[in-house]
Amino acid sequence: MHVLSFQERNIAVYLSVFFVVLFMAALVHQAPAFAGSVTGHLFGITGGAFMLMALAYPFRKRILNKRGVENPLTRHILYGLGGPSLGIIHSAHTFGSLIGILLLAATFAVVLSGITGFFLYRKVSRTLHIQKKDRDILKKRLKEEREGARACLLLLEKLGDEEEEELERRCHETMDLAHSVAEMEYTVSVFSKMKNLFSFWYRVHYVLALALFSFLTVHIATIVYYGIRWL
Amino acid sequence: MMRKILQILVGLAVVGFSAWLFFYEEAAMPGPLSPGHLPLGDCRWCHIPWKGVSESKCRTCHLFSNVRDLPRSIHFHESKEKCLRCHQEHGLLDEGISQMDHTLLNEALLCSMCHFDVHGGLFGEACRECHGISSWNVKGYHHPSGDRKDCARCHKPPSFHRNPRCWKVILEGMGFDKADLEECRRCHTVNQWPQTSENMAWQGED
Repeated sequence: MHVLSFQERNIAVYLSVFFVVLFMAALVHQAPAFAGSVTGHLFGITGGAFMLMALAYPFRKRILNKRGVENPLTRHILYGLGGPSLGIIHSAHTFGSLIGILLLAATFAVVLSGITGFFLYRKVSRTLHIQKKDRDILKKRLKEEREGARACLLLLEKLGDEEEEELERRCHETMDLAHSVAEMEYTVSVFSKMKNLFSFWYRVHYVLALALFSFLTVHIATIVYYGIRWL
Repeated sequence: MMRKILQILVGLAVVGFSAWLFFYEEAAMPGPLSPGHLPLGDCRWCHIPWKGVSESKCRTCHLFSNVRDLPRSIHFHESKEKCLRCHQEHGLLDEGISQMDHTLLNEALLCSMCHFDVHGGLFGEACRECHGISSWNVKGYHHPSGDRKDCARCHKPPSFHRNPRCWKVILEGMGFDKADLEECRRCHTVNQWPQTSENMAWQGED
């Protein structure tokens, strides 16, 4: 998994906030004629091109099987947030046609699922990785604690007082270790379930992206069919 | 396997729905039609597929063979080839369906044919000497210096000045025995026309 630098992470956060603020600006702003103007179209075309460029990441990942450093997520994030932001500027917050509304809704949903996937899935995945590592270390240590286990058995046979104290200490240590392993196993299983749940969330991201590009195609086709206004 | 099939089905449903959207005309309508065009129904009344809105389509209903046949209020419609420069449908304009573009008008048309002349004809028909076409405001206009005394060149005395009885009362109020109607500056200042100059005062007001 490619690890984003602090600067890249900041850009992703700023762009996400910018996108959401831009979307919410619809509450206070509307300019119906802007989308059809030359400037409006330029925003729309550039935004669409950016969205297409964001597809390079899944294409390289799924088709060319390039992962990690070979296929950094950074560009996907930048194009995936920059394109929709330009798209919203193009719309100028005018929710006129059904296709336009669906396209904006799909854009918002794709970005939202992407942001969720990026911030939460990565967090869960990384935490799970660390928890598994810790659990394996503890398991290894527990296996090595044969003496402690024997101490617990001997305790049952009730030896003399002096020996009994030492055995009790060792037995307690081993029991604590065993409890820690059990707790860790539980945490790992919870995080594994969460990871599975988020892998489903990713599928939602793909379906929404498919809807977005289908609506975008229809949007462009209808614009050309009914006539581009500034031509 | 089931998951794969489900994914393919969902994908096909999305693509199918999008294809249906393309053929469902109302889905592409960017805004409501104006009341006059509402009964048309079919988009092809105005749009030519893959070409867009055409002025020739406008003229199917809006006849422009002779401008003089049009109602007097729209006699200025000289530019019958450029309907879309001023008229836009689907609520794209802030107000209604029209937005005047004076640059399209025939030079021979007089401003006074449509606009009320607030100058009362003092400047004749040469409005464009001072006023722009895109904005009515006079660019860089500065009132002539206060030394000039030919106010009547631009300003007409109001009716209560022209009425002899009123004029007499005004003169008495200002403490003049005699004054000419065009001697505006004896009472008025340049910057605040309704007020009289400081050295003049109505009788009874100190």
